[in-house]
Amino acid sequence: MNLFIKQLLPKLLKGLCICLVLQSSAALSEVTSEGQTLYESTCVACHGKKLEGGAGFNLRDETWVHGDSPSQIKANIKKGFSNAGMPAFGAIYNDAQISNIVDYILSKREGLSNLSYQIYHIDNNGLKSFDIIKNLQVKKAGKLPNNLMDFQLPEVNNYIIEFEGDLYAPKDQASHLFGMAHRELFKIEIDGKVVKPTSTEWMKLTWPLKRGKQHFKMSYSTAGDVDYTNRAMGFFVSNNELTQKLFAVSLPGKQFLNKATINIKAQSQPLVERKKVVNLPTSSVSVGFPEKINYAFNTKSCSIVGVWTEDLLNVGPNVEGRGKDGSLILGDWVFHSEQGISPVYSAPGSCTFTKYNRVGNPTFTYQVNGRDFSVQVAAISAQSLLLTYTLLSGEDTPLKLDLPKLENGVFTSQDGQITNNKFSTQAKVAKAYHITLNLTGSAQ
Amino acid sequence: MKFTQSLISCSLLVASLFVISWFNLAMAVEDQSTYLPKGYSIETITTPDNVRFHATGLDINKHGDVYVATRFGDVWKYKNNTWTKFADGLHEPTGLRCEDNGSIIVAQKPELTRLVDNNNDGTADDYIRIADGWKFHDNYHEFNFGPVKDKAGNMYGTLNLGHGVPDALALGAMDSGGGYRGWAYKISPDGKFMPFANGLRSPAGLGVSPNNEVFFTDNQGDWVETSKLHLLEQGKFYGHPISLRDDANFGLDKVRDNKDNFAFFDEMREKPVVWIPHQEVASSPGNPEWDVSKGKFGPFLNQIFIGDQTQSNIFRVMLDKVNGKYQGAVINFIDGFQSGNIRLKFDPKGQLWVGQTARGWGAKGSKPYGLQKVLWNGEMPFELLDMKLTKSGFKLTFTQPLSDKTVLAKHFDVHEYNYLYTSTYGSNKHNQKALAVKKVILSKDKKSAEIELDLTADKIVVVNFSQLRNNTNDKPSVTTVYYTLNQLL
Repeated sequence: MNLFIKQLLPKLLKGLCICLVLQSSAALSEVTSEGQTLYESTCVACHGKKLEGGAGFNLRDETWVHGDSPSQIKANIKKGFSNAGMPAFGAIYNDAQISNIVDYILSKREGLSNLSYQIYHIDNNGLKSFDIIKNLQVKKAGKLPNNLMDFQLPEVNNYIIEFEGDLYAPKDQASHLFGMAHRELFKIEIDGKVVKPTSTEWMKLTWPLKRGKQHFKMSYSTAGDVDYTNRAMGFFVSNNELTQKLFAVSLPGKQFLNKATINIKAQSQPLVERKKVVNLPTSSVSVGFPEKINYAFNTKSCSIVGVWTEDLLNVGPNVEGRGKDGSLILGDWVFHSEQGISPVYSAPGSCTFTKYNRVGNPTFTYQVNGRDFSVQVAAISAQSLLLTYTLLSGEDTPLKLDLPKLENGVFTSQDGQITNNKFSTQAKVAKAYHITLNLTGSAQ
Repeated sequence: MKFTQSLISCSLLVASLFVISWFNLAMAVEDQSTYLPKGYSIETITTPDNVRFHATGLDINKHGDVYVATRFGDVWKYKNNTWTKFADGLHEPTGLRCEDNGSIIVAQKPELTRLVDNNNDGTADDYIRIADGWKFHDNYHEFNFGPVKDKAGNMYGTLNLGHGVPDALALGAMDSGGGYRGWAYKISPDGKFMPFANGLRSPAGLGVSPNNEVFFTDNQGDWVETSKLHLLEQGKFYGHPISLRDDANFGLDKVRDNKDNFAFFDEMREKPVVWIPHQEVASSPGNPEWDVSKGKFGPFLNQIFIGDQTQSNIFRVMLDKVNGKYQGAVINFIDGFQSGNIRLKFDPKGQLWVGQTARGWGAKGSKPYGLQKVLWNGEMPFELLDMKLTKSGFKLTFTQPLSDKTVLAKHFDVHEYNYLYTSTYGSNKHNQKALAVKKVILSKDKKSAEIELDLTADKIVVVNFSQLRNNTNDKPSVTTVYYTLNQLL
């Protein structure tokens, strides 16, 4: 009996727990999956595919005008807001379905919640340490309903401020807290433990975050200021590579991202944008079509280095402030470099970009292996691109292209062979060679 | 759930707050000149609505049509008081040149590009690569400035160092990931790219003199004591060592090995034509622009005008060729522009156009971007016209005769100083010393005053003449001039 209690029972209980957790996870996954299906069939039109908002509110950020508890959200979906054009979905979906929608929405949540602050006044020559807090009185404290940290709340020059709340970081990727600030005195605590910064560069202070919900506390002291008095500091949650600010957690950060949102959409004709783009190599030229499909041609590799869906780009991160960040695609990737539609070179560096022409569909002209080629891409639909390659001059020559391996798209051609993700044909001068890319499922 | 009307209300509120705060900012900072010569005025050009018109490329063709490249990536044409968009989608161009054949050349970060309107519909059809023989690492600071063209048809540009480029070489604030960052380049008439000179930091402006010489400015920072103007010559080194990683005679190791050997690099480097005192005159100078308007812009013929992005001003450079080498003086001209002055260009009427931006790097002027021009109405101002080194001191020439009674030795307050060349960001003034004016001689036409004083080379000599007056008791709008004394006569 003792043996059973001491050795076997714990193992059985542990196994039981694991089963329950797995069952619970699976059940939760099913719930959010159904919630996602319902959301994308109904809510998406007003609130956006990525819950980013549109005619309706953003449903993933830190602002919840009508409350952020599951019961509040559920009640609002049921009753709707008829004067704002939102129907009462209680008449359409049952209780369980609406709960699933709520679970899906909350699974995408980002930003701070239940944010509060405390302010302490310190001397002009205060110690550069947070240890002094234990001897200080709280001069002001309160809630921040907008859930954004604001370092300009104190009405004195010298202070310590603490912000505390729950932080919803991405669940599906690692992330960092990113501060566009000088090397001032900060302390970050996650779930009660102090976190060491991973970068203390000027305007690039970073701390690693956990995935999902975590308790967050930031302490800031002006004693760390040397000669810098601008406290409009932007704080964000960024991706792990620090190349993309995902969302803001401070008021100046929110303002920065709002200004850094400049969506470029092709309305009636193709657009060309030569900007830094996250996930595309340097020297890429992006082309967007009114049909809501896009590609990028790289002038160093003469390759098509990316295809993506929806509208072209948010170039704001690359043109706001000093423009340090890359532009963001507005849809989903079909592929991006390292994969590409790439000429097969006879030797490295044997590609030379010549020009692009913007009459009609943009045409890129380049030289590979001493021969002049052009490629023109046309949008057949939001799901299909037609690539036309032409040998412009000289003698007939093989045209060989490496193609990306796609799970959500298929390349076909009547003008050459496609085997093992390679296109090849014997190109004749001035003859066009067509390759079609058809998307077959949802992009990444 | 959230509420649609609330969203709209919030948006309006945010927009209102922004408008209010912007209005307050604009009201708080009045863009008024504290120095402005008589006869000159600033006129603001209305730029296209809802366009981020950060004007960093500016040129005017022989017909007087104004072309502007914006940091957003557009090229705009201004003709008959109307704006039309000529091109778009470029990567932060910071230079533009109108060619005689009607094409437009833009210096965008990854490429020097020719824009051609083939079908004469007013917009560019072909975007042709002229050169991209350098490395661009998608870094925000890696600007491509230029181009300017000499009389032989060679074009020149300059490549800014990076900041925060991964795995780059840094011996101070700026860095280089290699690929001719910190170099000037030359494009021959047949299109060949050639690395031309190195040691540059943030060389934000180039110009070609009437004598067919190329000059460039560089901005104060690490290894650059204060902003400066240089004569650009092939194979020369201009002071910032990290560009030497791409020099076949150096390479990474030799640069690193000498990172604290300031004397070593000091010995190698070229002296600037003029030092531009930090903040007193400029902090982030743009392109040098020569007044070749033959008097349409006033008395400052053949002098160099340069705008400053931070100070929102324009200053003049008065060249002096001493022992076959250029040196000279700088003096403020006009301040109080609406934004950061980065590009200057004279039009055929002798009006000086000013392209402006303040994004990312703030300016005294309150506006984020814009376009203004300086006009002269023909009224002769009373200002310092020129300053030349003599064997015994300096000759200062004014635009109008001086009042005899004010031309006294004690009315010339003179001091000298120099800078310390290190890897640190900028330099304080060193070796400051007052210089006694022993004698002053007024010329027969009373426009020139020769001052005698003891000078030593490698100093900036500062002359304040605020006590001088003309015959109607006017005082010059600017009364301090800074002479870069590389050599004595």
